[in-house]
Amino acid sequence: MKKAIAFVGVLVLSLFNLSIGATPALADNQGLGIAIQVSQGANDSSKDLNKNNRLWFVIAPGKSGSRDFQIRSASDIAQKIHLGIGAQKQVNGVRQYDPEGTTPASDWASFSKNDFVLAPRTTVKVSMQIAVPKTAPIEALQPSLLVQASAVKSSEAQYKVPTALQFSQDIFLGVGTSDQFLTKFSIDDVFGANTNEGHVLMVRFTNSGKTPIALTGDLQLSNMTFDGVTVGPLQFVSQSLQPGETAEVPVKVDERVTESKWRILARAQQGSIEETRTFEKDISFKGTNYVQLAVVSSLIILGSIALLLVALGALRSIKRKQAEEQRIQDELEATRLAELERVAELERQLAEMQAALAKPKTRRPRKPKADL
Amino acid sequence: MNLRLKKALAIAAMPLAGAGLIAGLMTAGPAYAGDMPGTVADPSSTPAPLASQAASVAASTKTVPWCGWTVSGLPTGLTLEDTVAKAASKASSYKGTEIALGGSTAGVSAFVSGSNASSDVEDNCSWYGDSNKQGLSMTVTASRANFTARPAGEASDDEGMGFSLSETSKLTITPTYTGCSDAFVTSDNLSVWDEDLSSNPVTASDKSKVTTISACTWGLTYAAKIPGGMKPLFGDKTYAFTGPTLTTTVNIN
Repeated sequence: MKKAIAFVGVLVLSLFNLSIGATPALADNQGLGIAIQVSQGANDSSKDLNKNNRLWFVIAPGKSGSRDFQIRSASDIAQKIHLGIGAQKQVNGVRQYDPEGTTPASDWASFSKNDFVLAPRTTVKVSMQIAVPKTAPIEALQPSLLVQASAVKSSEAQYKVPTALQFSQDIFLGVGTSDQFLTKFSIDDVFGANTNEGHVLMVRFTNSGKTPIALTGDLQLSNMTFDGVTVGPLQFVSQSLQPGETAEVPVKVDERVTESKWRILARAQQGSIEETRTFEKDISFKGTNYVQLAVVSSLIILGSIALLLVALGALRSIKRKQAEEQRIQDELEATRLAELERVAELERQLAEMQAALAKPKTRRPRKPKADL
Repeated sequence: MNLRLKKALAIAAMPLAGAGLIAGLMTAGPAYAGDMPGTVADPSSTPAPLASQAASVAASTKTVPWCGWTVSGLPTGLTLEDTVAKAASKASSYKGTEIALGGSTAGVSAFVSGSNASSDVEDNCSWYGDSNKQGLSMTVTASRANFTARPAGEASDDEGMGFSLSETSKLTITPTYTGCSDAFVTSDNLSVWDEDLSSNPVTASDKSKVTTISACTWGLTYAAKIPGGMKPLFGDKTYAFTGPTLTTTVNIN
């Protein structure tokens, strides 16, 4: 019985652990957490500026424009939401909310709902309307949409520092008519370049209008040296360009696009506004592919080290062989010398013996007989 | 092979190897230290021409959610504790000498996702083109540079017990980052005081590095000091100290 209970207990605990492990990303979050998502808009007076996830408006004085966005809770607690419009400043090239700045747009915006409680893990759709007064001057404003989340109940701790989470989303607001805020751009050049990604064609654009743009488009190439060789369409998307800005968009090309003369049809589009331009150019891919260069130089270094090691090994082997030969020669020489020495010794002994044999015999003097 | 010839070849190979090494190292320098241009559009991602799209009008496909930045796990308030009293398991009490306050929190994160949870699956969402990618830059701003003190049961603060945050007595906030992806640039000190009321914990403003699963997680350790020498209006009363409101602004652009 005890074993059965223990088994069931272990099984329940295992299933519990499994269920926790299966949803790590949705771990209990008792802190603040939100995301905002701008919805693509329908066509209106903003002239295709709203076909993206950005808050871009062109509104004439006395008119209004609207845009929807979603606020998504990423928290397991209820959060108090406050919406507003704030000023922005540029810090190190990046636009940021400026708590001390002011913008006239803050008085022109209204929201379908504001100061509400966002339930845990829910999403709320909000509509923002900007009504520009008739007396507003023609100008371009860059405020931000502020979405602030804070705790519904404040902490009762003895020592505390309250916190809030705020999202600040860029807004471009052109106050004027579509004619005063023309979306205009030019395709300035197409040229070849060699980058880390390989060969690319760089397409240079200039935003010569008064609204920001984010272009999509393509390139179609036909070789002027070899008839019938065509490549494309090669599609591209640009980063967003503010009025007056110039940008180069890289478009990767394959090995069919060789260094020769090409006719290139470039097409770029911002909403319903399209520009095309044909270039006839001698394309060459200048620049350095650092990745390729790193691979080649690594191969050269490895090859050189291998060659060096082989050469050193060969020299050592030659030296060893020479030393061995020398040793053998030395030994032979020593043997020869020892033999010579032995022969010399034998000769010396022979000479001595011969000398001894050749020596005449000397008579011994007779002993005088003793007197009898 | 004749030994002499072999030796001559080996000796000849050495300057060649040396020259190769020098050439390799000279080209390797710029290869590793060079300016790496950004990513480029891939022709393989070129959508099918209209003719072939027309052939598949009967097919259906599901779109993935749009990507967007989410920030979660930010504490609803930083709760500080008297570190000495806590270590001695005693209640905090002020006797005219300095009190060190401290606390910590974990699990704050900023991530790209198509839902309200982070994901490590690259196609959990899409930016639908690089031009729609968004960068992130966070700023922490303090509403003021002082702590207020309110005695229990009173309707107003006791100014004699309030204190300012100065260069020598900051509200120190130290983040500890875990697992931040390439797009993020982090900062180690978020302290606030009267001359510096804002700081930047993380930024991910280089959109070429932002992906569909970019994420950064961090914890916070914070500390402050109630200075010595203050004189409370009331003795034998519990005081509640409240610091400036710290607003974390997530700039999306």
